[in-house]
Amino acid sequence: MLRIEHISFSYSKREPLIYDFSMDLKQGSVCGLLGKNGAGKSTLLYLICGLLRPQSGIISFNGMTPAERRKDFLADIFIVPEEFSLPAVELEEYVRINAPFYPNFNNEQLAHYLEIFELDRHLHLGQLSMGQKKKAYIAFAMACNTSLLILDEPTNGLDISSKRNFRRAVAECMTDEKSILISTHQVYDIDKILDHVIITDRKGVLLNDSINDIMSRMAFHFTTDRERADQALISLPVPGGYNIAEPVTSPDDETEVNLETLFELFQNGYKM
Amino acid sequence: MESTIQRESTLLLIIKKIICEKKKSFLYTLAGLLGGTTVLGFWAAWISSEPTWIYGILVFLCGLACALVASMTFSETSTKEGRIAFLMTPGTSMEKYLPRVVFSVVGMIILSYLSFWTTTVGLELGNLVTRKEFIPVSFLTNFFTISLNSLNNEQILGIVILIALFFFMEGLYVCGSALWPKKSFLKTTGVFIAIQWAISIIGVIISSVIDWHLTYHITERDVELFLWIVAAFFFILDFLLFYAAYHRIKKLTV
Repeated sequence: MLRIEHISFSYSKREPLIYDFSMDLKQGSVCGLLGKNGAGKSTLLYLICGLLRPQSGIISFNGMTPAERRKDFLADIFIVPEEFSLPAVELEEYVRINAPFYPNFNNEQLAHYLEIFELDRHLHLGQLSMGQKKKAYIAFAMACNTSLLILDEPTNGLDISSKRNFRRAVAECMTDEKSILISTHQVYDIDKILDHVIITDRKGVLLNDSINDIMSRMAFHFTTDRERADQALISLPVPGGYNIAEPVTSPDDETEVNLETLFELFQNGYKM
Repeated sequence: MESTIQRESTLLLIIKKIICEKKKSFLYTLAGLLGGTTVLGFWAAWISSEPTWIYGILVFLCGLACALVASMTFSETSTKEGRIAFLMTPGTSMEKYLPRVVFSVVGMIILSYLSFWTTTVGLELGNLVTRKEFIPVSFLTNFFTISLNSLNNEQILGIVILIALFFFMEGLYVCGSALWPKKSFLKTTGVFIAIQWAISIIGVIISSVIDWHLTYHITERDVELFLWIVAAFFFILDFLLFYAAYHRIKKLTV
């Protein structure tokens, strides 16, 4: 679905922000894009959407080049940026004006996602808080049923129950025909819904793997045993002990993936 | 997935989107220009017994309003959020460019035309209030019943040059709006003034050269031909300015 081959991009002439970066994103996955501040995550998302043009390399989405910004490409991709503005109109009017741009938009699904987010359809967008606007925008984005939905820091500004509702909405909107790419620092908000993880830094992809594959190779535990922590692939001190990552030694040893521990492991130079 | 929305042409969808999102701005501009010119006409009749001089001021004000609105053609691209929303709207660059330019340029031409009528209404009301009598303002009626058949070559040339210069100004401000969405009016006015100075200086140099070096006697026909060439040049320049604005929008990034 999405193929990125050896792209490079920089805002200034001094140092490339993204250098020789490649990745593939398959259909039917919820993919988390993790990276440090300034690693170029948002820039990568903008490159995928055609909002920026790579200085070298190729990006291909369903056979189309994002930088060309063709109408059918733009109708099949939706980005909810970290900061966005909505016009000060009624939600109904916003939907009436914008939904026709997306051929697969579904009104009933919009109603369902609004219900999940506990939002009334008869809202005025100009009178909502930032968190409410974000929920409304995410609900609309999901109802557009584009092949690729990109969410940049979607849980920023959401309260605890809204984050839970967000996870439910993502799980319910997923189909085999679409993919969701979520860029975030708030790993605990999305760890339960991901089935694929990409960890990047400026130099490229550190990890691009499915959650199942990671689980089959790495186990994540909490331990108070200092000796065990010292022998682990990585140990992160937490109140009361250590979060550790160890190689899986038997199928019974498989655990859920701790994204924070996984992230730190690869940021420290670990290679799978 | 079932789509419950009937497909319309993208251009029409974008036009509807612009109208919906900018309806407050449209209404304020409409009310401001038409209401303001009515008041202007009333004021002119209040202070003067022969108030038709107000139309000269109106031409200047309409020109200024047209420039100001043209400089806001792509104002939504002045913020990152606005650029993302603009660029991610499913449509070609031309479909996003054309309606905005038509609204700001043609829309203001229509509004300016209407403002002449509202000024006249204000004048008539002013006459009624101050002099307690209705004095028909024949100027406006005469102006708008002029037919091309009654104009001579010079007058036609004058109108053509006026139109070329008007679209030059509009093209410059639309181009400025695409290049500098922030503080567009100020920056483009600076460029406009610089261009006027440059044209004046070049004109003085050329006329000095002609005066000093040529013994050829310039006829009225020569002047007329020269002005037609100038008009053609400005029409080409107008097209290039609007095209430059379109090209800039096409290449816009976040």
